[in-house]
Parts: sequence; C-alpha cells; structure tokens
Amino acid sequence: MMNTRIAFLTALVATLISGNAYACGDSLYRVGKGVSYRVYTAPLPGSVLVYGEGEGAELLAQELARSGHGVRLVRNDEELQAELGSGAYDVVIAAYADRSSVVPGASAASGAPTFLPVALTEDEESQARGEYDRVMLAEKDEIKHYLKAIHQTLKQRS
Amino acid sequence: MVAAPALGQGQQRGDASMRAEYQFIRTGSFLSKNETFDYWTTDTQAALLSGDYAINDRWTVFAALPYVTKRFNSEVPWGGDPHNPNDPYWVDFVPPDKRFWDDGDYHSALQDFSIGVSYSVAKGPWTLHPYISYGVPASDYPFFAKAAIGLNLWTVPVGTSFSFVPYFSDWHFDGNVAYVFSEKPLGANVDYWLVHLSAGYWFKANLSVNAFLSLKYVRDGISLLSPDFINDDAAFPPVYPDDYDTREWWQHDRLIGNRNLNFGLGIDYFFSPEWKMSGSAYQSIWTEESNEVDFAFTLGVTRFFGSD
Repeated sequence: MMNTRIAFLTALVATLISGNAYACGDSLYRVGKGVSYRVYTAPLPGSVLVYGEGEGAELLAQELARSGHGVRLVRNDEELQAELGSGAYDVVIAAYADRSSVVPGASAASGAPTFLPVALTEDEESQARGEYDRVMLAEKDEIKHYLKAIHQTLKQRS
Repeated sequence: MVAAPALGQGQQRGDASMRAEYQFIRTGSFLSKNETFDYWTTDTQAALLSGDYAINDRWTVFAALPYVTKRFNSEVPWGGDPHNPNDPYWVDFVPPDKRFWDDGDYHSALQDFSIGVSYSVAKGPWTLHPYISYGVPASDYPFFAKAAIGLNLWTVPVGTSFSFVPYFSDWHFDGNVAYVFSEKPLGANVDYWLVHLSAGYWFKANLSVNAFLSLKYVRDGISLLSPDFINDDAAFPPVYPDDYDTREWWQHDRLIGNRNLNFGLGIDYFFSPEWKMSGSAYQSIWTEESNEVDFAFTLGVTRFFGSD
C-alpha cells in the first residue's frame, strides 16, 4: 500500500535537460515522472465517521482517508452509537434511510458531528434536501463531490 | 481508523523512480529569418534512462543518460547539404574532427549525462520543485553534422517545475521553466531558456490526457545567414560552401540562436500504482534558426519504488 504514495506524491517532478530545438544536432529530453496518479486533497482535514456495510462504504472511507481526512468506518448500529458518543467527529456520512440512527447523535447539539446523508434514489434526494443543507446521491456523486461537501461543512463549523 | 496514503505525508527518504523512454523525432526544413531551407530530413531515435531518489522529505537527486542514434536522410549524389569535414573546400580552416556522419546511415553514441538536485515545496494546491543540474557529454560525439546527436557542450540548467491541481477537480496544470547556462563555444554566449507548459485532465484516477507546449529560446546566438560564418577573404556575394571554411562554420550549430516552439498531446496510464506508461506526440508550431520538427513521439515506462 505504501508504494502507492510515491506515485501520488512525487510524480510531478520534472526536469528539462538539453534543448528542444532541432538544429543539425539537438534533442529534447524531459526528465521526470510526469503526471501523477490522481488523488484529491482535503484542504481542511477533518474527522469523518462513515456508517455503512459493503464495498461502497469501504471504498469511500479509503478515498477520504487518502485525501487526508481522519476516517473511521463502522458497520453496525452498536459501533455507530459508541463512536457518536465519543464526540470525536466533525462529519458523519450514512445512508439517508439510516438517519434515525445517526441524527440523535449528530447535529442535535452544539459540537455534535454534522450529518451528511447519502440518498439512494432521486426521490430520496429530493426529500432529504428538505431537511439537510447538503445531500449526496449515491449513484451520481463521486469522491470529489463528497470531499467538497465535507470541506464546506468543515468551513461552516469552524 | 482507515489507513490510506494521505497526500499530506509528502515524499520520504528512499522514494524513487526509474524511467525508460523511447523517442523518435523527424526533422525537416531549416527556418532562418523568414527563409526556409529544404535540408531534407533527419531521423532521431533515442533511448533515455532516467531516475530519481529522495534523500529526505525535501531533497531529491536525479540523473539521466540518453543513448541516441540519428541519420541524415539523403541520396547519393548528395542532396540537402551533408556536412562533411573532409570536403575539399576546407582550406583556410581544416576541421580537426574528420568523422563524417551525414552518409545516410544511423550513427549512435551516448549523448549528455545529467545529474542534479531538486527541492520540494508544497502549499495548498500548488507544488514547486526548484532544481539545478549539470549536463556533460558522455561521449565525444561529433557536432558538425546534420546527424550530430547533440552540441557536445556542458550545460547547467537552473529552473523550477510547478504544478497546480485545483481542489476537487480533475484538471491539472504543470509547468517547467529553466534557464540553461551553457559552455561558450568560441566565447559566444549561447545560454537559453527552456519552458514546458501543460494542461491535463484525469479521465480516471489512473488515466490522464494532456496538451503541452515546449519552447527552447536561445537568448543571443547568431543567424545561419550571419556574415560571421564567412571567410574574411570572401568576395561578395559569398559562395557556399567555398567561402565557409571557417572555424565559426564548423561550429555553426553551437553558435546559432535556435528557437523552437512545439505543441503536443500526451497520455499517462497507470497499470498499477507502481507502473506507469506514458506517451506523447508533438510537432513544431514556430521555428526560428532551427530545423522544424515534422513529427515526434515518445513512449515511456516508469517504475515507482517506495521507501517502506
């Protein structure tokens, strides 16, 4: 896993040597690794709690961590409640359908984490937008959209 | 907590990469002062091996060694003015290097070995890598030939690469600007600028396509049509090549103010986080005192190594 870091981080170093003109004898060589693997950066790293089962939740948690956030993934309600009780999180990401498990611990009190619901359908999204400032749509939103929503949330909280 | 390599970790001692690249370049006419000289074509094939190693979280050393083979595409009897140091017109000045490389065959040699250091600075979406390097001919290749593989001069490029990756975006913008201090042939200042600018888009995390411009701009340097190349005893108008038996003409490729702007497209694809394949194709869009690039392409493979 650690090997991936160097491709992400140092791949933009490049050095120009020799010339790129083409008189009778001259050639261009651009030394360096060139374009890097794409990794999104979190300008304001925060603590994020992801609640969900399956590959999607795991992947989301990994990508958020890779961008610089501190991330905890929980898979059942018991773990969720324990983590919410710790008061250590800025944002909780969970399915909109699970809001009843999340909301008592999130956004209910000052300092509590902000709930970022994930809607599974467009109808659900419309419904969620009536209740929350930011709503993610599972089928449409990519990791960069999650990061942007988390960033806006963190800015709002600070 | 979920463990994943975070961008904020920066480079670490021992991070490294090795890159092998193949390059093909077809050059065509020479453009000088709004005049075009049809000098036939040259084909260059280069194999470039380069690598870098992070000494610590800031400093990186890098090195590169190109092996180049090049030919002048001509016919017998000669067309396109092959440069032959054995020609009978060399009277007042006789080239000390008699090697004739414009015979239509490929001629090969190690070109210039480069070694340097760069320093890493990152702030927000910006990264900056100032660097200095030293390039020295790795073999004593001839420079009086259309098939010459280089200028056989030492150079010291001082520059910086930089990149801007907007937050939450799939675009990336990269640049590289260097001022190259060059050995002075016959005491002439032939320092030059090198600039590379690119805009790219990640279609996937492991696939990026970019468009780029690259420029070489010799600050001073003289024109191919300069009287400096003509023998003092020449009548007017001078006759080529009879009146060009001068040491300046023998070194004309080193003295001319090459200026060349290329445009190209590139692609980078990661097979895995450790292996990347890159390709690009480009051609000249503006040329002054230089041969234009009719077509060029590169193919490269990069292997990344981690410190852990």
